[in-house]
Amino acid sequence: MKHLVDYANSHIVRSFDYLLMSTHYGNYQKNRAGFEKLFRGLSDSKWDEAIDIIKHVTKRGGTMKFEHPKSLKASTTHEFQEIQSVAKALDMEKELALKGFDVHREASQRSNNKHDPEISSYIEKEFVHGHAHTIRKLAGYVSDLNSMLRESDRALSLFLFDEYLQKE
Amino acid sequence: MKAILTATLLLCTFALGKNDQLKCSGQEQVIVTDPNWTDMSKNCTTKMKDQIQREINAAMQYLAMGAHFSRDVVNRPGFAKMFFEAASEERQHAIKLISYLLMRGELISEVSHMIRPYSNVKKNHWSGNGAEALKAALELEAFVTKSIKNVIKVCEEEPKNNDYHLVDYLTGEFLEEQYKGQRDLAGKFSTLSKLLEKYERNEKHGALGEFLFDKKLLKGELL
Repeated sequence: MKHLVDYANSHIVRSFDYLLMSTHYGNYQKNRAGFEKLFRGLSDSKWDEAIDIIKHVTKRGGTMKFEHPKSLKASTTHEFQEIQSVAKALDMEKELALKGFDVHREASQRSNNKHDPEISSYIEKEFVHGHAHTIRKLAGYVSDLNSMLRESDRALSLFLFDEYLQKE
Repeated sequence: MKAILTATLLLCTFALGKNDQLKCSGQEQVIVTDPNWTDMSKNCTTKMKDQIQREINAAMQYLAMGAHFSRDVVNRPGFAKMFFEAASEERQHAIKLISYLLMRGELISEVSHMIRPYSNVKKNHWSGNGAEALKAALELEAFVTKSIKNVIKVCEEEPKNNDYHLVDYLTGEFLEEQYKGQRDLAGKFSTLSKLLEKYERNEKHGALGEFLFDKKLLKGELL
């Protein structure tokens, strides 16, 4: 249950990280509504997922404790360049996915009396596919930005990519 | 070319490390001159940022309350639902305040310190019965209202810079919602207290009243 509590707290921390990254892109100087929307969407989904995990902790007889997870490094800045912000999001998503694996691994120790198919199924059903989807999407964005910024006009590439994100 | 790009990114990382955003913008060849159009006072902006943290604190306390009432040994799904919804609502309030500041040209830099989800560590675990929770929620809302009024006061009394628009927004949107929310909670608190009265006189918990009240909360049957 410790891992699941940690998983919930990690979602809360990352939800606010995304909210602040989104805020940065909403200021009038950055003015990138597409990036603002991308990170706001991620913030919203982490928040909703956090509530879902908390409910699951209590569903299984656990007690939720709210604290910053010791294993999670706090972000010191939320003001990144466009490509860096997407790369940062990709890192955060991978880290969350691995934390999901921790929960799953703990619940899958069949020989150690810790076998918990309900928890492993919950992680499989509700999280791993979502993580894979988001990670693939962000990795694609990084590739696109990387190749466009390398050979085309940087400002125009970012403007058009932001416009693309607005419509996603 | 690749080497140049890497150098650019490195420079940016370095600049970001020092929280120096302008240097970085220079690297992407975007020159944003400050058109000098913003007019919010520093005191007022600071108060607004504090208010954002307070809304987040309220959201976190409601989360803790929702978690408590979800436990099998407490088993009050109606209360849990109400508090989880309240938590998301408080988060939305914080986002609305952020959007407002962005609209007014604020939050250009140093956004990182604006939100600390676990700064209110005392509240990392909540326990109590239904009536205590409604009372705590009402007190929390009253605190938030008082704090909004304080923001209004500071932003209105800035010498030579009465922030009419923000004051109107906070009064019309936020206080409106606060007072309606408080009336709702106060009414619920009264209803539940009356259900429990007989038991409280005998220093009993009033399990039946709370059970009934919870199911009505869950189905939205309480006014």
